[in-house]
Amino acid sequence: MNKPYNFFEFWTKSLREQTPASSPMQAYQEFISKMMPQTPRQPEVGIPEFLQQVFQQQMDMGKMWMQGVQSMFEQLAPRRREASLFEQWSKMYGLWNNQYGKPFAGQAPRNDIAEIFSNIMSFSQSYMEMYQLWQPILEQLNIGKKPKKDAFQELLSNFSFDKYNEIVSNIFGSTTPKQSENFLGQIADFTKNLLDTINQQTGGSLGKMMQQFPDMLQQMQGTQYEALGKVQKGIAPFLKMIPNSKEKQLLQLSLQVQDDYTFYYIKSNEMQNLVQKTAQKALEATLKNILEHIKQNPEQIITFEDFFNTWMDTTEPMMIELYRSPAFGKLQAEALAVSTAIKNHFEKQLELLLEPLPIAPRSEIDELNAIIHELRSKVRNLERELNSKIQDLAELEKTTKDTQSSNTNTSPNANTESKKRIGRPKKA
Amino acid sequence: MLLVPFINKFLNLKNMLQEQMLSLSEKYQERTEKLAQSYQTLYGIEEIDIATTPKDLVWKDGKISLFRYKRDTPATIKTPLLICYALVNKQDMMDLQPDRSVIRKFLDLGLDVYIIDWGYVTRADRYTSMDDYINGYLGGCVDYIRKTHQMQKINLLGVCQGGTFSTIYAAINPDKIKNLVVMVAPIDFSNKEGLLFQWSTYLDVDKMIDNNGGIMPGELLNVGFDMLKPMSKLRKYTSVVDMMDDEAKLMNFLRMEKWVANSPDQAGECFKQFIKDLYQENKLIKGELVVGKHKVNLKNLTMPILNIYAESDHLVPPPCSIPLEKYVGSQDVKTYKFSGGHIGVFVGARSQNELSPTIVNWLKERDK
Repeated sequence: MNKPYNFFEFWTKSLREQTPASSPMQAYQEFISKMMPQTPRQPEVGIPEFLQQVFQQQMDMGKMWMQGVQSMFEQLAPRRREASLFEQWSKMYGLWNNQYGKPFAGQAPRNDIAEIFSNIMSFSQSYMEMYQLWQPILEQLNIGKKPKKDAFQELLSNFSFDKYNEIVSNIFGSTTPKQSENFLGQIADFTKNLLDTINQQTGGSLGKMMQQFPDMLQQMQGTQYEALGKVQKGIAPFLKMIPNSKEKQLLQLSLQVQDDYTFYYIKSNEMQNLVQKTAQKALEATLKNILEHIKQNPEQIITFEDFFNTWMDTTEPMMIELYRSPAFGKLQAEALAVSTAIKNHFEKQLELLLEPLPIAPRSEIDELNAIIHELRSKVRNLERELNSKIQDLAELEKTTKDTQSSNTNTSPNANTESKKRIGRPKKA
Repeated sequence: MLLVPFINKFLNLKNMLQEQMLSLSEKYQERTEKLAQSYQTLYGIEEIDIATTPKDLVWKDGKISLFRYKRDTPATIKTPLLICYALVNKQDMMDLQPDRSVIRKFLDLGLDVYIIDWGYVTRADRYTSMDDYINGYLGGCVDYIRKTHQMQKINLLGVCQGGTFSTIYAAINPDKIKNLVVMVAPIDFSNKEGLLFQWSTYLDVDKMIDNNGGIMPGELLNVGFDMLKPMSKLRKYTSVVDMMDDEAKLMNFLRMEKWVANSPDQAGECFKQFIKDLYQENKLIKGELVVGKHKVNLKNLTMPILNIYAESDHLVPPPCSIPLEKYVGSQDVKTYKFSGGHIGVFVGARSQNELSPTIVNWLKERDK
């Protein structure tokens, strides 16, 4: 039996051992209640504070639940890649790849069972987080009375939009500030190493400048979101002082990556902002729908599934409308273009890094591919022409044979006829 | 006495809190149990079998393979059928599982079926163009079948992008195609109803392909397709846990997942021309499309044509498929509306019971 499944067995078993007399359900509830942080009760709190408190408790509880369940998934995750010669570069590239395409969708499609399960886990998390967020509101709505006139505003004002945006980002995909920070940190480290190497190459003659360089870079990164494209411009005069070398090319490419990344990050955030705004509108529309429904049917209990389905049905057309809009289309095209440009810079860097090794770089292979493609096309056309000529020849041969055979066939007839003719009685 | 309302309020809040905690822990328990069951069930599945109908590899050119499906009995329709699937995703969708297989249905109804597998593109294929795919590979397959069967003309069925390719091929080579069937194929790209059409407007396809090493990553295309139905993944992944005890349903789900995930990269040169000439400039119906040495004239399509579109197609909306009949030279054109979506054409019950027999009967009537 595998480990992840044992986790559940172990969990259930320990639950039973802890509370042998109770049912599994009771045991589970006790277990959960023990996990809950003991918050001092405040009997005088009003409904808004109360809801906030419940939200917070549920969020904490949700985190614990996810941590527990996550351990099951971790057993399925592939082992971490071994460190390579280009560990630092790979790390940076890896961080980029984690973000690449993220603003365009949530989870990538998967093609094996473990990864399908990973998707199930991820979306289950979103589902449960939505539950945590909505359950207190549903409890309020399900008390069997018609909602107050200002119920919509009241419920909305107590709603945790930050948490909601997090869930939305998980479902629709996003680049988080943390990811961005990690990525830029890696670029900075990589750049620092390059500068050290350049400094050694120049016998330390650029030492002073080099010492200031990382600080300057860091400062620029700090304000990079405002200083779009400024990293390269700001550093250009210093770059002129550095003699041409592989390291200099790597450095220039790194700076280009930073500039492009800034643009990418801005565009991604603009897209994310549009998605979140639309999701908020969808949420409001869902809440209005549900309140209206309760007004009409005050005794009917609204389950979370009712809410969740209404929310999905309401959100989907609104999102499609957003994705279809020229504003989003333009942003997406810009982000896509710059993200592929970053990928391209990385590939150039990789080629430079691999230069000392006996490996044919991709650019050379691409040249070969172009030649192979041209040759294959020529061969195919020649084969086609040859086949066509063979076919023509075969047809010609067939025609010739037919003609010959028809000639052979006609000869005897002709002979016969001539014989007949010969045999004809002569005219008197 | 004044304290009574406060005490009541406190008791109410306390009860409510308790109920909520109870409800939440029940939900956690329910979800955890479902996830555990999902994991256990998924762990027990060794292989997701897909496209299992027996077939033989009969022709190969580079990465492109031509397969002929095995028949137990001789075909009752004498003209063989070549299926040309799209470059996006794999042709396995035509044979997803035995009871949801267009291929098996075709075989059962008496067709001799060939299918093209476009293989998996790598950077080495970055220069493969529309001309290579249509006049080179598709043309090679058609010629092989003509030669094998000693026939001047064969039947051609194109699916989605493969339908566009088949239409172009048939317009260039009307002397080689007896009957043309196109399924959910984009022909008129002027319509901006579909998201794919909208995006292509803003896409700098040259830059994107060049920066991606000359290919269009399949994963990126899938991301685009997902955006057409933004909630579908959330829906399916949150609901799949409820079908873990139904093996048949679960396997259906997993096969579809496997198919969706199997998304080959696209050769850059071909992708560029497809986006620029068709999506952006709509050259096919304008009579301006040039593929290799050939200018494509749809009026050359004089053979019988069966044009199938899906009423609820979100990938290729009906207005992109329906207009074909306006531009062709054929006097025998049938436009068939399928009640369903893009994928339903291949895997739905209607596909098995209605659409496949319709196609075979239509071919049978013209198999003289």
